[in-house]
Amino acid sequence: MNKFLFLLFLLPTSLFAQFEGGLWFMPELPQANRLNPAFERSRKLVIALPATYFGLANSAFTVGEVQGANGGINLGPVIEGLQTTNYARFWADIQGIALGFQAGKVQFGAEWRVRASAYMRYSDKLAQLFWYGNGPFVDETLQLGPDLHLTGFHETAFRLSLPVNDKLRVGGALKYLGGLADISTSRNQLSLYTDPEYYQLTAETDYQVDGSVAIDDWLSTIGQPENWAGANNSGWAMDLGLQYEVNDQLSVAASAIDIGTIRWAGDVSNYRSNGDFTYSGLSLSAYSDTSGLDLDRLVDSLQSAFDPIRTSEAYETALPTRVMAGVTWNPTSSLRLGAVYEREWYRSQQFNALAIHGGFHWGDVIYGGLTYTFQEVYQDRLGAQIMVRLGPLQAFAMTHNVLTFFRYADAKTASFRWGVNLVFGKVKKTDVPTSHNTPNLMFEGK
Amino acid sequence: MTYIKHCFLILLPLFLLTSCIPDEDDLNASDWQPEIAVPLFEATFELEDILAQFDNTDVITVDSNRLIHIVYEGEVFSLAAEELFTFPRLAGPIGDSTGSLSTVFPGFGSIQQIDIKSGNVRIGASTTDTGMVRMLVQMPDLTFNGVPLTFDTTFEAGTIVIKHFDLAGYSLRATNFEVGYQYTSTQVSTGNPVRLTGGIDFQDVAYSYIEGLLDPITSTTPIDTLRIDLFNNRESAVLKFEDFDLGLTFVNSFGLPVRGEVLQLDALTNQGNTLPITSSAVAGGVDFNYPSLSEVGSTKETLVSINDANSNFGAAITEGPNRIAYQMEGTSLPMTDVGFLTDSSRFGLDMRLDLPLFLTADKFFADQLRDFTIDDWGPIDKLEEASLRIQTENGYPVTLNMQVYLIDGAGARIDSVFDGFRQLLAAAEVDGNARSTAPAILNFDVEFSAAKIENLRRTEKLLVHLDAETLNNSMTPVKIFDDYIFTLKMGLRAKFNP
Repeated sequence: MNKFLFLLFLLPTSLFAQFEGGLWFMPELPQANRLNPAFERSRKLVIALPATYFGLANSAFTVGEVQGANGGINLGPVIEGLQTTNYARFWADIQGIALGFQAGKVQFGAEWRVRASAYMRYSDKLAQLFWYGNGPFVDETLQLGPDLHLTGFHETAFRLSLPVNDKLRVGGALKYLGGLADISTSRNQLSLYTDPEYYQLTAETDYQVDGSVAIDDWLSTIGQPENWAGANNSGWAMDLGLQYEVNDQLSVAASAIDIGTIRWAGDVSNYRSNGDFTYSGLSLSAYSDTSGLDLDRLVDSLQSAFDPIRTSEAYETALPTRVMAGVTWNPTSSLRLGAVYEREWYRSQQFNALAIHGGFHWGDVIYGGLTYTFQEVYQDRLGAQIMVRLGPLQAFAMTHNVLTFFRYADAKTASFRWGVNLVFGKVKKTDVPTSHNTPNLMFEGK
Repeated sequence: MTYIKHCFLILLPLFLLTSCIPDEDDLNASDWQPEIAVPLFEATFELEDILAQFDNTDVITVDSNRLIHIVYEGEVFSLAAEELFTFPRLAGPIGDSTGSLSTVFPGFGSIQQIDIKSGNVRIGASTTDTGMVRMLVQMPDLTFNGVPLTFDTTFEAGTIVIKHFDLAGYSLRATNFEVGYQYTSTQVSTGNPVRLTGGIDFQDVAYSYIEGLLDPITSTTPIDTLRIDLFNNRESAVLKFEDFDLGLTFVNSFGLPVRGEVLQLDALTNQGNTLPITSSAVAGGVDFNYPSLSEVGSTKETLVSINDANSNFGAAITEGPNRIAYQMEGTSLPMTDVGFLTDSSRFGLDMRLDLPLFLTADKFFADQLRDFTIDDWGPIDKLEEASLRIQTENGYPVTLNMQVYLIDGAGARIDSVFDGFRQLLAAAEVDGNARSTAPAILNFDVEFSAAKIENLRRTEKLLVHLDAETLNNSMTPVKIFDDYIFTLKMGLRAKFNP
């Protein structure tokens, strides 16, 4: 039961990070450079220790809505509440190690991590077909073709951030991507029509699933790393960013990240179904057909009518490119306010989000913040961030949805990021022509 | 690289989406009752499929216009020559030195030639004289390739001599019904005549050909029947054939003029009714054609058609006869010319009832009791309710209604598939030639409630009741062609507990 609920919640998820508005406003963390490579770190030398992140987002329903009586699962009400188009995504990454240092006025950084995500866009009709069957949809064409992308790769990033003048700072990152495994759809036309005549099934398909794992037996193969495609799958991506300090209290910044693709060429399988297929039942020659009508024969006949064609051709997938723009205002030395807008392009879809942040410094040890995110498609939510520094040890944890921890049954999204960094050598004001990242004395150490 | 893979391995289980297929225990069964609608089959019934349901498919024929005929035929009687004429026993004494055998061939006014195909003549004699005796017998009327039969033997006086002579191939030309013979017997040593005591007779003689003038003879067949099973399943059906033909074919290879008379021609029904068939075609008898003397070995036919124009048989067919009973009498006519018969000559009557399917039919129904078993109840157990969607495309101008009763082990009707009689096939419309123009399409659903599904469990037999009638409540005559088909399409819509 729990496994199913959990995975059902994941079903509507994908790979590349859920919008983390809170992290945008914590540039003291080297991890913030993932959102904007122009952000200036406050320490000359940073070593990010292994850390993890995961995020879930489901546009359709909460865990509580799925739970039926007696602990069972009741999808009926959930399916009734589905939108015409629904999404589910999952993100995760495991940071191996990251290093950042400053040479002159230029900050350099390098990072290695493993990223994974799952994405599914599906119509309400697909879920209704699963739950209600096709019986209620006789004489109706159901557009079903879900868009699916499950992928995993490792990323080696090299970052650079430098001042242009005393107001403007720019940054960029070049990232090598090594594909681990991928399953994605490259064509998504799939409709099903049930004829009222005597329920003949007609499918119009232009549907293709590409995989860079052994799809036929991928559940077993996926547990055997030696069989993964590995080096045959590679790609490049880049991040670009800038930051402009209007005055000591106000700054604006913008970035475009994950601009790139991965080409999948290892152990590729493509399954394509293209055409119109009509299944009219078994064709019996009346009394001369002595084999009769049996269920197995019916199922075999139905399957053969929709058999896809298998090929093995390399393919490309694009990373979800995101553009962000934000403003940060530090009215006092302890208070930080801001807002950031994000637009994401992914799988021919566009997603918009806006996060409003408020944070406060407590002494020189703690920074805590709250972020409220309005996100298209997904549930609006309140997130929280905390960062603690003890000497060179910088620890942080954050979630974009605190509701998950208190009323998980009402949550449609969840995320958690944590990590520990080692930071050394305060960046002095004189070293940097901007003051955006330096109002907070607590990070300057003693 | 290994580290990379293991990191990814940690993440992968999170999106093993295929694991999202819910276990049965996870889903509330009462909440998840999907309803599926799938086509089951499409079956086309051609003529041969339908005919396969009949026990006797030999009765179906198709003419050049593809019109179907039901034809019952058979040789209802046959009379061979040997049943009419047998070679009479010929025997005579041997007492004097010469003699003759006189015989009569029944039915023949005179005999001119008899060809013998088998048999023998036996001669037995003895004498009281002494010494060796020679006996010479000659039969001038009995020749083989023109040579008279001669019998020459010597025997010891005081003994009895018995000799056989094979007659195969001999031809007998009798005059005045007498077969003459002469013999002489002398003592070998002296040449003096010897008086013999004995006899001569013909044994087991069969002919192959007889020529002569026949006396009028009469032969009557036993009462026989031609079976018609078309109406076996009919109880109250009303069938009216627009066209039919009861053909009587008289075959004759006797070289004699014969007249046949129908003593009895009745249609017998299942209900025990006897419907006499009268026809001007057979009234007063039928003179059979016969081969002339130059046509020995050939057979002549005489055809008589009894149809709607010359008989009352149409009314009899309407009553659904299952047999036609008949009795014939044949009489040879006085002859003025020489006639003949051979050992293979026969009189025969072949009867052929041809019923072209150009008809109107009403209240034509049939019942069939069939065993009912379901080997695997697994899928059915999961059904909450179901309905069958049926589409029929009927090229026949015939309406078919149906009901199927569920019969339990005690023979009781516990349920029925349809609420009442269900029209299964609608009749196709016909053109001016009574041929259907386009299939008639009929759509309907058959509901199976949970209670009916439960009753299926108790069902051991199905009683299938069919009721058919032709177009427009059997008011319009229709023709049934062999290129008609009907198609049955069936789909299932069912709500079930997975």
